[in-house]
Amino acid sequence: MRKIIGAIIGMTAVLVVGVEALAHAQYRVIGTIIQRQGVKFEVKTRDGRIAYLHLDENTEITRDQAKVSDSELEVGRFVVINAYGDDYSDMLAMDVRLVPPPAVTPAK
Amino acid sequence: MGRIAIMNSNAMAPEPALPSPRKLAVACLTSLVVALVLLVTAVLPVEYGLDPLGTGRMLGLLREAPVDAAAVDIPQGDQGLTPSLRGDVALYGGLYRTDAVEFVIEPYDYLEFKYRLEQGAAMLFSWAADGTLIHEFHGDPDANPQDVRSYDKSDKSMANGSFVAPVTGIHGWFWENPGNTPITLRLASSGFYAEAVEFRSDKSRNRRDVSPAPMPASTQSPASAQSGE
Repeated sequence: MRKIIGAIIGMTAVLVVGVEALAHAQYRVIGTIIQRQGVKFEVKTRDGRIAYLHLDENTEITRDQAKVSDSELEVGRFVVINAYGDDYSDMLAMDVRLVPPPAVTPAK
Repeated sequence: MGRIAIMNSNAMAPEPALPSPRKLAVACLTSLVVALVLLVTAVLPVEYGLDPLGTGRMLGLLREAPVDAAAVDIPQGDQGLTPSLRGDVALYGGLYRTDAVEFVIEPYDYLEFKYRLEQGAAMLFSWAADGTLIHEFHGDPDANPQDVRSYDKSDKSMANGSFVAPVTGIHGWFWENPGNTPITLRLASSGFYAEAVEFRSDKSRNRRDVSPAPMPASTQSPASAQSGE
């Protein structure tokens, strides 16, 4: 009986984790770093939304296609991030590109 | 003098042996049979389109008879955008459509734009941008959307082409702006599709119907013309 209950709990756990993983989506976040605290940082996008992100040991950070340290993720830097998560409230940054900010286009 | 010598040599040559009447008859009969075989297997199919033994078709000598469009069963309604192949021609019960769109791709942003095409359905396209884009022309099969098919993957600022969908699904373009200035892109297309879908990096998905191409007022609709109405 214990084995059966154990198997059911195990299968349920696998299903829950699987469904959770499937629910995640990949996002492109483009904007300016407005806060950084350890592995956590916040990015303000051009439409004014704030994305809450964190780094892990697999996050790749690059500038001009070369890998750089996460110490370069300073407040004020413009970044392009491919991230993974449910929504903007909690995302894992898979790769972060440090890029020049968009050129200011003259008002028409 | 020479003339005499020739006359003399002719006079001395042995008389050639004539074939016997039986051999002549066999040779004539063989020639007649060969001629008849060639007539039936090759000449009739090529010259007159008659192919009693099927050899003309087998040898590739017979030209395909033109398709009688009125006799072709062309799917209508929901199935109207599925092509009916008759020889070199694909016929559609659905209406031909054209589309033209313009996008502004913001710095470092991307978008995907695709048309829904049935397997074998055709599309013509032309797009041009005012900057170089990271680009991939690809398709997501309805049967397995994860099995993405890449048709053309290269950085470019324009492309003109034709496309026949290898599978039923949504087929179109991924464009990414690699630079820090906005890029404007214009796309014109035509073909046998009814729906377009636009995907943006913010996960928004914008689906819209594509209207049938306007026809000159004095002509019949393609569907009624094909069915002989």
